[in-house]
Amino acid sequence: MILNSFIPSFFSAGRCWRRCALAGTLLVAGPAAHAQTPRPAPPDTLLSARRHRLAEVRVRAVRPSRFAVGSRQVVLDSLALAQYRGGTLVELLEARTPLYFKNYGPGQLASIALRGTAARHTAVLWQGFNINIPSLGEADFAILPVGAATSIAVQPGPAAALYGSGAIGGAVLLDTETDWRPGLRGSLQADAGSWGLRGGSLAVRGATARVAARTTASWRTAQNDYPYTLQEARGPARYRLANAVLHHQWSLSQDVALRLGTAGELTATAWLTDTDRDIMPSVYAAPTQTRELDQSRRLLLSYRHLASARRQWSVRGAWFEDVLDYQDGGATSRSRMRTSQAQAEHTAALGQRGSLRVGAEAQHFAAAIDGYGPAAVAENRAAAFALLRYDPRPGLRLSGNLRQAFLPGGAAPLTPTVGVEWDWRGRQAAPADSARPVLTLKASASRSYRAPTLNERYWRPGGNPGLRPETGWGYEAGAQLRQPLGPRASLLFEATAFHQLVDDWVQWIPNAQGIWSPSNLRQVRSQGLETSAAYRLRYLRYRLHARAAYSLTHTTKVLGAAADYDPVGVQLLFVPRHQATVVADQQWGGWVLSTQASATGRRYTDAAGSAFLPAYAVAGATLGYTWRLAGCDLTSSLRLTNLLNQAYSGYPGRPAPPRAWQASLRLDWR
Amino acid sequence: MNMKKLFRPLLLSLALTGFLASCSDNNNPPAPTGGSGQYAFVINEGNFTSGTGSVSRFDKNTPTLIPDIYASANNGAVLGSVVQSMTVVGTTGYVVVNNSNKVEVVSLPEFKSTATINGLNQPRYLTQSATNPRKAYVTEWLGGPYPAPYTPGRVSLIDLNTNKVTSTIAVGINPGKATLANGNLYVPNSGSAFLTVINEATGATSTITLPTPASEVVADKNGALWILCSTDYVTKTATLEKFIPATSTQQVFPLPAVGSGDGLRISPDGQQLYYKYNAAEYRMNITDAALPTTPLIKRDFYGFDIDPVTGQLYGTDALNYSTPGKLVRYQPNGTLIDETTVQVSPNGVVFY
Repeated sequence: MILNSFIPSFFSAGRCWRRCALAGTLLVAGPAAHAQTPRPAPPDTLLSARRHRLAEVRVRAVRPSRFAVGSRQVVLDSLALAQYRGGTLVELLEARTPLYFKNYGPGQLASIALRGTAARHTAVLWQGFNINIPSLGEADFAILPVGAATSIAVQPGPAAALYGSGAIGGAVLLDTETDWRPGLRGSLQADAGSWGLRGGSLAVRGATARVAARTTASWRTAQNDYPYTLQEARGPARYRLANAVLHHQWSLSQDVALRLGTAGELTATAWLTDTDRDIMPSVYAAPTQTRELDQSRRLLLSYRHLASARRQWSVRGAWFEDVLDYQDGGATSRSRMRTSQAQAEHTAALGQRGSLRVGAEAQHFAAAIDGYGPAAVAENRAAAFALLRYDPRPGLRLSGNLRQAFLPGGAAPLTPTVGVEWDWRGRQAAPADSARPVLTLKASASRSYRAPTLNERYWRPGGNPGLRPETGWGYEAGAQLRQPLGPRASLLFEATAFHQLVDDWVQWIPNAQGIWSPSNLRQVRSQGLETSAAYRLRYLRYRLHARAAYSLTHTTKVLGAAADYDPVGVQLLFVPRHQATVVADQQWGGWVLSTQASATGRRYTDAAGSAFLPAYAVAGATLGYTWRLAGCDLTSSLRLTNLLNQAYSGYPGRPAPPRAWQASLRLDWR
Repeated sequence: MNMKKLFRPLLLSLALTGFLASCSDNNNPPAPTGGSGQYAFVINEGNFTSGTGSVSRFDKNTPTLIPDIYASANNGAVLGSVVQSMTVVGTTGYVVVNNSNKVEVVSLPEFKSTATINGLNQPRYLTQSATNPRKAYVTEWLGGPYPAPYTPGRVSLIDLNTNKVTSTIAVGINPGKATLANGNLYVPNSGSAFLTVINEATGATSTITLPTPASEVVADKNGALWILCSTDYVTKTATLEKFIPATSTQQVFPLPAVGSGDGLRISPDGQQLYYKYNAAEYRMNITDAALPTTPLIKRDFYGFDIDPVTGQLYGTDALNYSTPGKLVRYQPNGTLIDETTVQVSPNGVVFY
């Protein structure tokens, strides 16, 4: 039907919303395309149905999230991305989402605990490729600058079939979408703040009918010499934090997209990051000179081809180099890792209501790491997958996905995912879709796995080449209610319950000779509830978007080997049971006021649950004003963090910063 | 996780008392401790990254435990990072906090902080001088930490009246807990294959060559030194060496081929040796002709000490070094008495 008219313009610089809307129906054509009706700007929480919305429609790729029916995605909106463009992923996600990070302090290691799992159980994907450091198998969210990505989303819950190894607790998705709007646009920002924070960022993009390019750069430094108080034997004593300097952090990204003929698109992307920082010791320990240099170079070449209106295929190659140099006492422990990988996939429409993607990927890891001994190590991994999306009738969406990974120790288990979503619109009385409440029920089940990391296999002494992959089974079910409140306001409620078992959970334990070695020791259960409510109001020039979210996470060991001494039934270390966030963004003319508050429950710091960090709550606000000038906008903003000057810690012996400010000045031209 | 075991001055002083009474007139006995024997202080290194080490106070009479006696007695203050050892001098405790580069001075048994000795580097064990009861020696590591190599360490002399370092003496790499005998301070070096011998009267140093480095040395009631030398994992197995300083004779007891021994202790009467090998605790009489072949207790202790009052055996099990460990008590014959949860990484017990 509509596809015929769409094909010729598929890769043209279409400014027309209709064309985009049509493109959005590719592969899931027919009745399921009900979502073409324009709606207000996206909320933070989206069901997969919302991917059909106009504002999100892209001609280019059919994203994997299309096949994630029944799962949640927390999508960071453009306002949040703009406010945190000079910052790091941990600052953005801690302020705007109810996600918990084990955070050692500003600029220090920040590791995610998604749905109660460990940092190695969250896959961080950049443009569809896993960028967790291969040696550690996890990502440090303090060294991932926000500005390089144009789209940031978090998908809690297991999703190995879609995202491969490590997506047990969930996945964090960083993407760069080509902006084909013609012309040249850009922005330049300067930041300054408390404790020696200085930074700057630049983003420039331009497009013609055949070429689109985008460049981003950011730079930052901070002394982090803030005051803190220690309770000592002779009373409270005030100190200034030492050994926590962020010497520099920069990021440089370059994307170029080229339209080849009417059906092809070639994309080349490079992202370089470099962070040089002190590794701060506990404030109870003596000062150190520990310092770490983290560098990543990521290159990606991708070709996508629209074979027909109902088929597209793509091939992609990526090369990553990760450097982690750890220095202390004047000596350096060096790690160099190179990951070469290739992906190929083919996506085709199945009748009018479905689409099927099949694909394969291969990875080659090479590492020269001092801790592995003098010889370099290498290993190969591969996987094949099939993703099916089928919408049998309007308002009913199904997906079924499969992935089989092949790992050096043998095959990982087959990891399927199934998901369902059903929209219930009540009686057909209201005049238009947009005026009726929509209740969406959803559920999904999936198996997941995590390949052993290079450290787990090759560290000397102690590396265990016989380690099995961790595997998990996860289930979730929930409901979302979208309630319009007249023409100017709407409410969105969502609740999701989840249950997950992770088997062969890996722990490092000392053997009889005192050598620490990883083993598949335990089974861990994580279950809980994620709820959120969002309210939107538009009145004349005033805009309000307020969200509240709460999550309850109960994660415990349920079974363990004899050598695993940690007790069963106790909440795991550094997993808060309660986490809540309230965010409100208000706009009035050129003014923007964003306020946020978050509360984090008690976190145990030992496995027995006898020592803990107390619960805390922090609040922050950002006030900005934009002057509209000829051809450009000038925005100044002031952000205050820890408004109430709370003393708290993200990790024992690592006091968080007191009240702090950050001022930014940004020039956008168009 | 190679933190060495606690030095127990009380045991040592009792051992020395016995030995001195029997064979030597060139030493002054150390000042007796002021405790009644009611308490056992458990040294908990704590989680390294957190930096939250502690000392638990176990009351043998009740029996009850105060998990973090320093925090309880000092307004909730944290003792420091990697609590390594504690030495009792009279009614004062000297708590060596390795990764905080300090010795915390506390009143006993209340554990109120009275002073802090600074100016130290990775301190390990404090030993009270036999010739001057107001003087003490602290062994310290230099160089490191990973990935930097360790360099020859030192012994700092402390004036216990001012709590200041007065001078330092160079020793081998990574000195461990020293022992006093025959007017000498014998310092084992776990990174150098020799004992450093410091003459208490003159301050002069000399060395005793060993087949491999040793981290532990004890003196028996006859003034002989017992030294646990580690394996080099290549050609040399671990050995227990008996060294008689007067005659410079060495007797070698080779351990079975795999791994090193650890945690060498001597009973308060200076007659029974205890050590850990292959995750079990062994006991040997100083007159035995060979090492024991069967363990006294089959459990992998991170610390092991002998109560000088009751003769009971106190093992500390660090489990996986991240969950709170156990204090496990045994009758002198190895029969289990009870088990108490303490704090993370308990490495030994000090009796008072």
